[in-house]
Amino acid sequence: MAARLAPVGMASELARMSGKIAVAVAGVEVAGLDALLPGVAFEAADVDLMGTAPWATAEPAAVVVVARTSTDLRRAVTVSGSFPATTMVGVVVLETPQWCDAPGVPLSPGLGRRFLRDVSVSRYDKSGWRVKVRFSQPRPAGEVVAAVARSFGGHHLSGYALPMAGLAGPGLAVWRPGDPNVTFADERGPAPDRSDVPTADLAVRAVPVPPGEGWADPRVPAADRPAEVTWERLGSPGGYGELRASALEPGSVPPVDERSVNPRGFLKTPSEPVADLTQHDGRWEVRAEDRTLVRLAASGGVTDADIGRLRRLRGLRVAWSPAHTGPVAAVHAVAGLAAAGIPLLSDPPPAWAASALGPELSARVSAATEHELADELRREEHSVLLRRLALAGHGTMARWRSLAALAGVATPAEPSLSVVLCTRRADLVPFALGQIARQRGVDLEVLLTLHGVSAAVPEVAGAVAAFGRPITIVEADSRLPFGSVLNQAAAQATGSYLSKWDDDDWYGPDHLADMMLAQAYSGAELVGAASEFFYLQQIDVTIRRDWTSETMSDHVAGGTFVVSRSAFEALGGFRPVARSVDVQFFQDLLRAGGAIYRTHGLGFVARRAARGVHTWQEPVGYFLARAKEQWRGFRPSRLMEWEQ
Amino acid sequence: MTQQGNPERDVPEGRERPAGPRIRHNDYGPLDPPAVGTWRPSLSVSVVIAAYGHQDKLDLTLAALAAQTYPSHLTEVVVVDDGTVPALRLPEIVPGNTRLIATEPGARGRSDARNAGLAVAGGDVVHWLDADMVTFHDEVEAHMRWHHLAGYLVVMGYVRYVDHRPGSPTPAEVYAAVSAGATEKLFDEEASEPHTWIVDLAERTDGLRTAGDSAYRVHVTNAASVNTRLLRAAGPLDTGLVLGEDTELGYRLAQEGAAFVLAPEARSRHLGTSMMMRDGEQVLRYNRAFVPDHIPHMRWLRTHPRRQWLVPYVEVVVDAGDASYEDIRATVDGVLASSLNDIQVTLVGPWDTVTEDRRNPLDSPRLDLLLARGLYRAEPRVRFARSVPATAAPSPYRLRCPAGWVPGPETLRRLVERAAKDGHGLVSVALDEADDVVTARLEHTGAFARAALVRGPDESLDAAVHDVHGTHWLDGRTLGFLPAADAEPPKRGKSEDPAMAREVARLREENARLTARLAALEAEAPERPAGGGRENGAATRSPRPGGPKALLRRLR
Repeated sequence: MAARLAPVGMASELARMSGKIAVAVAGVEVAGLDALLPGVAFEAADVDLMGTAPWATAEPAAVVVVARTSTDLRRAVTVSGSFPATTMVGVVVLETPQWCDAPGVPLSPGLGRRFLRDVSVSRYDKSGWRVKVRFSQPRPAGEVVAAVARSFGGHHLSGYALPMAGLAGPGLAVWRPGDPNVTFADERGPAPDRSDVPTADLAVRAVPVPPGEGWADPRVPAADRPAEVTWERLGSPGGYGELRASALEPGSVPPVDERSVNPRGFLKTPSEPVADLTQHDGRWEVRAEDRTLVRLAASGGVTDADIGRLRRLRGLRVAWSPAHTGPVAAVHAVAGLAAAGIPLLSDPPPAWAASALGPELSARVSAATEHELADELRREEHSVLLRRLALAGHGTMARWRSLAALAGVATPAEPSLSVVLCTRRADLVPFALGQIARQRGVDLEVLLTLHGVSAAVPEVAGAVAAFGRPITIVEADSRLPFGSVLNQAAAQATGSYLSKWDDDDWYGPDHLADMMLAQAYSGAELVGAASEFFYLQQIDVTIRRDWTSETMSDHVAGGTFVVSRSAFEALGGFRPVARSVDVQFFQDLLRAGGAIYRTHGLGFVARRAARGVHTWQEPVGYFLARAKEQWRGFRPSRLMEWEQ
Repeated sequence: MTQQGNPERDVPEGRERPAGPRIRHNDYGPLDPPAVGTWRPSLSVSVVIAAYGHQDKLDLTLAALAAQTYPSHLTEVVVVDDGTVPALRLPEIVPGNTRLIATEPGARGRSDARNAGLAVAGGDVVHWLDADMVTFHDEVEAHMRWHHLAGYLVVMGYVRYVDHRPGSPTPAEVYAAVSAGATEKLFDEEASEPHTWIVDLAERTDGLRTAGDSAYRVHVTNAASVNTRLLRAAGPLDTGLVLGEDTELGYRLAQEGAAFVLAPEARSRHLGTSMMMRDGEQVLRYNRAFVPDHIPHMRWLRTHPRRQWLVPYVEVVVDAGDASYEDIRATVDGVLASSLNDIQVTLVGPWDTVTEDRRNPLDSPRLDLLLARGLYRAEPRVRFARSVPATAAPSPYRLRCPAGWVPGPETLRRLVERAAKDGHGLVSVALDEADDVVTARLEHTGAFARAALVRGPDESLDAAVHDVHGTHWLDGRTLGFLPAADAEPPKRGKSEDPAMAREVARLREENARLTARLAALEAEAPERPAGGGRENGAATRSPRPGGPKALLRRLR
């Protein structure tokens, strides 16, 4: 933190102000602020320690939030309801990963936007950002913090399809990061009602509760967060007994903030060797060439900037003893690293960690060998398997869904998918429906769109009858262009997402689940796979192209994408043209302000058969010239679970 | 080794032995020979010794052979006297089954003598041995345990050169010491010297396992052994070479599919120094004049841009068959204009049926073939064949190029360099496609030979090649292949040659692309650490690891 924190022009303004400035820090030591805000009178509070009234100053001249990373900033959002109103707000993020773009201030029109007079965004140091905002009259500073945090991610809305959360007691922001609708209260219970109803549907409470302080609100169920278990405490007499008795489970561990800590930025070709996650001065660190690459926060919370520093490693070997600051923090850290797809190497975790990670993730963490990680494809497969389990078992959505289930609080249904399968070839229908039938972990219906093919053809009728999930047949005139046929099918879809499916390509059984997972963490309107694997049928060779995946992009493989129905409808669907409907749609979406996220390409193999009818296809040599790797025969990734 | 049991061979006479497991390139690591003394051999060996003079040393060599652990009923020794006056004789201590033959005047020399021994050798394996070598008691067994594992091996033993004074030790002393397993006590081991270049090569190549196409060099006839079938297929030693003849045969053995094993446990002592040790520089000078003609892999000795060599690096096979004269000409002219000029073209067609109608020449049957033969009849690099020869040997590569497809000036060089660098046994080049893909094929002679030895009954040869050397596909257009219709005839002089102009344009384009890429990366660099993996658009690929520096290097 060598550079001054305050944005250009803001420092002098702050120094001239009468009255104190309220500073909130996230992931940053309060002690270091003096040097960064020279000549400025301020009062600081830490978002991970603060109570409901963090500052003595009720009307500060300005509010400045200093977060180490955008992941840390998202915990400030959680408690930002208690930030005072003011005319000047500064948000400083000290470090962001390579893939993080400049922030903005997308305030809601119904909130402070009409009082906005000045916005400036500038670089801080090498990879940080500074945002300064000035209003014509005092506005709640929390609105700005939430807007800036939202602009770092791909979600247009910061909300979650989850029960409204109450957090009772300090240090709980990590349980619902990035959500400005959280009710932040003390240990006794949620804040007062809003419009005559409780402000929370489900609360997480810090224990032990101070003696005599009961739970105030019987209408809101509360889940108790286990007492802080650090190795220091466990080391005291009876400590290890307490660890055995506490029987940690995934629900004991704060969730991984999947909208910030996720596979984004994954590098297929690492430039650095395997490194070690080992204990130094009481915490887990990753060192490379005698330099500390990452020193994890005491809480075990992994940040996007930490992940950015680890992306170049081929793998990360976890040394479980000693394990960071305590068992919960250690498991929180490993779950975060796994959720980001860091290729982990480990011995079988100790029993306490295994039960807190959950059996599947615990087994996966120790499933790979260094020899396997030496192969880029095996390494990426391991990364995908890790992230799936970690996100599904430890993400914010997953954690609150299980808390809600335990408390008997209803949660919105998982989003449903409508798979649009359009074909001109009756003989491919059994193959294609077979690919859809083996999809796991999603609620789907199929719109089988027969483009000039009759539903009465025996192959079609037989395959439809054998298909065990909801299926609707759409018969389209063979003279209609492809785009119109797809629109005709989409018009009958009932799912909240549409999936476009090719009749002759191969899909892994988790293809759709992976797309939905990527949608959930990226927030993009359209998510698809990188078009990496091609089976060149004429010469019996499988090639892999070298696309960057896990990135915001301008295109994905046409046969793999999933798009929200609302975005699809907002753009009027596909253009009524015979081909290139995908590319056209991608461009329209981007120009309209939407986002396209490209996730991994291991669950998809495109078939490249003799050109015959597809005369617009590129020749075989085109694919060979662009192949990063090639194999003789049909050689999909292991994630395809393909047995010949 | 169990010596009891019947003396019959385990494999019935007349039946082809399976060639054994699939060694990839020269990585014989998967072979796991049994420990000396713990196994039961079945193959017979002929030890072939060419001798000229030095009866005293020969006596020691034979005494040591008489004390071998390898079963005598599986061993024969053939001593060839290359014209010694007075003639050599078999001494008192000899192995049970030893023959002495002699070369005839007019056909003498080291190679003639060894070839004469090979001609009468009856063993499954031929073990070359010099006439001044003392083998350890298990030397032959150590060779033979490898040959039992695969039918296409060349095994090189471990030789040290020792001081030798005539008369000491005596044959009886050698026999006694070798029998007792105490061969090393016969000589001053401290003062002995190893076969330095083999030891160095072994260190660089993990005992030859990663030596690839250069492994053939260890076929040294003072202590190597070779599968006899393989040896006969490769042909005898070239008597036209006085020095380096064993290296040359090693090269030809590789073209027959041989894998080369270093067996440090097959120990022997050479009495006195070798010619190489005495006159290394002179031997090298001599060999560099004679050997490169025979061994195309010696690229560093074949750097001349124009001249031709006895054995070309690549044999280009063009099937003239039903092709038009124009297509044949376009392809052959393109090939002959290659910057890789160390080639030979084989035009395959029914040449015996091509006749000239001398009264109405324009009505000649197969006029296109007639013209093609007429065009190239005096070109020394083009030969005509009725059918595709079974193998390209002794050339190490064969390119099969369909008529009507024209390589650019750099195409062959890039294609062969790529194949050699990655060790591919087959590189297929996709040129065009209808229902099937039109393909040019670059075949590695040794890989195809080994694949033919190990292939299963229903296995395609290409599949076996894939196992033993790897196969790969490349794009024809990227390599510079053009259809005849798009390729103008080569012209004399660099600036006039349209193909060369196209190559220059291609390199300029690549330069411009890399410059733009570099500029884009540099624009990002101050704020974004290298390796960020960002893209600018649909057509760009992710940056290569190494970032701007690597790109800069490529630009220079």
